[in-house]
Amino acid sequence: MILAVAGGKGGIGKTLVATSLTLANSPLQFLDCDVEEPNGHFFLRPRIRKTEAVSIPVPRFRKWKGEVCPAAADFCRYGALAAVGEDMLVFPELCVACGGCFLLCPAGTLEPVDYQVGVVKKAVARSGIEYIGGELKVGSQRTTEVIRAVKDSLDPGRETVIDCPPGSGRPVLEAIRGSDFCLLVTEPTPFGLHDLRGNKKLLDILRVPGGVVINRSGTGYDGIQRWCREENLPVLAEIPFDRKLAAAAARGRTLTDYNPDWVPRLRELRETIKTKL
Amino acid sequence: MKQLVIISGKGGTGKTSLAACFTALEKENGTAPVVVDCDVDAANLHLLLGGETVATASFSGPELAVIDRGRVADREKCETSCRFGAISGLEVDPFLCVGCGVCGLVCGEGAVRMEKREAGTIYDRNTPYGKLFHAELEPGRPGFGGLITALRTRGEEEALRRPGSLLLIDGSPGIGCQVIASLTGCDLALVVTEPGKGAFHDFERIYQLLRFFGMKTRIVINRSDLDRSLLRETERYCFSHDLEIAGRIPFNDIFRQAAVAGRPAVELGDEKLNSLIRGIYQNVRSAL
Repeated sequence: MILAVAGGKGGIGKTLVATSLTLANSPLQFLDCDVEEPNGHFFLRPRIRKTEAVSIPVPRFRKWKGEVCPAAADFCRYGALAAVGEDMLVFPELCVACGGCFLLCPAGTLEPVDYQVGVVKKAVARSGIEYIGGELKVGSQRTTEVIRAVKDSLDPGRETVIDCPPGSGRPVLEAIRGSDFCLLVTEPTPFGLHDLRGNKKLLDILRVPGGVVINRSGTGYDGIQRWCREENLPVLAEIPFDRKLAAAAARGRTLTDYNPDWVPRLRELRETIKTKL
Repeated sequence: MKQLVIISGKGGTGKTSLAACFTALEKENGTAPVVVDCDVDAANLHLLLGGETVATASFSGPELAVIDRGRVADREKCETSCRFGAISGLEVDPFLCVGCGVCGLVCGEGAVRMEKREAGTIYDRNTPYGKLFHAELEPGRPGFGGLITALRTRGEEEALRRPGSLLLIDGSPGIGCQVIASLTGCDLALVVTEPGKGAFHDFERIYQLLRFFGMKTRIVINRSDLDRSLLRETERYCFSHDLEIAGRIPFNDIFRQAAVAGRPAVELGDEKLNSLIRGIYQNVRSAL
């Protein structure tokens, strides 16, 4: 089973839920696909064995091979290539590596060179967790490529938990795609509800079944439950609001570290999810 | 026109809550600001500022390749041309296609045309505190950067029509495309962080990005009393990098109550919190 943990809003407790669930049911495989702000390692404390570069092929102009090629620069919709006088300028941060420019230039004037956009770290973390975490290079905009590289490294034979980026955009879609189930973490505020709606639309597009975890519950707002009932979306767990838990999570402690009672509850959650596949 | 962007690295640190407070305080000071919610993936500021939508505009994102199957002579060439694996069985997956146009380039039969596609909606809203532009992106769609630039352009046009008005930008979490698009060209970036291992790591990453752009920066530490040693870690980092801390806000329930009430937190009447937020606002305003 591949289980994705997503959530519309940032800071909602996705990583806390994903790492706690992984620990309680270990040894599982854990994928950190929140590559812009990867935090799973603070909870799982992996010992990194291998760091692999994630690169995309961007063009480099070889002056000595031929003339500048304005057609290639015109073709580039991303403004990553410009023909200036006798030279061609490449802006690798803007390049999406579609490869179009190579097709338009006479043989050899543009050559593809690897441009690093991030890394994938592989490790064994506590409780025998197989950890694979992506990290986007600061300044790069190729979030989706790094997520794809993380997912390409997963061992499909193992049960997996994926920590997704926040929101409901393209990177989230890439992270959830191919999962058997998706847990949506939210909070009982109108913000939480607004962002949960966007997440639900994404699950409908991907045809991935989902369930909700309400974090910081017990404060009186019941908009989430009401909406979930209308949408037929099961609320599978609630984590009561607790300032001490917030402080523990800030120090990298999971739910199971904070209170061992969470171990049987999270095992049961996994069993419940399995009945919903 | 001055532009202030509020960002965070890690999500959920209180950007939007603070942005709403700044909006209310700016109005109180005389000139209604123009506000742009660039967190298009989780646009929540309108829930705090209220008001009503006065106009909407659709926004087109990257184009989509549309293939006329009957005219394709070499199916394999067509499918393998796409580096994103978006073409399968001569069907284009709209979620994988980035609109680069390479399939059209390799097609000798002219079977591919690039179509405009709607990526989201821009809302023009009148709130009791000033103008707000926000957007809703179609789920799963790429093209944040373009949408944010379009939103900011709307905001800039509006701010230029209102002399002396501040352009206030609520950014998105992360360090990627949408964040870069929200902060380029701003006069000051206010980073909202909190004591926490994850939050600190994300703060370091966002600061690297800000330094890369040479941006003037101020820091707010929210939930500052959550953990003393983690607070020290953030403070030490700020001191050693000459980063000015505009203020600290202790853990409180007011931001949550404000979200439920749908109002800026400074209107909820907590005197202690109000004077803290006012202090932060004045620090930031005088640095602009």
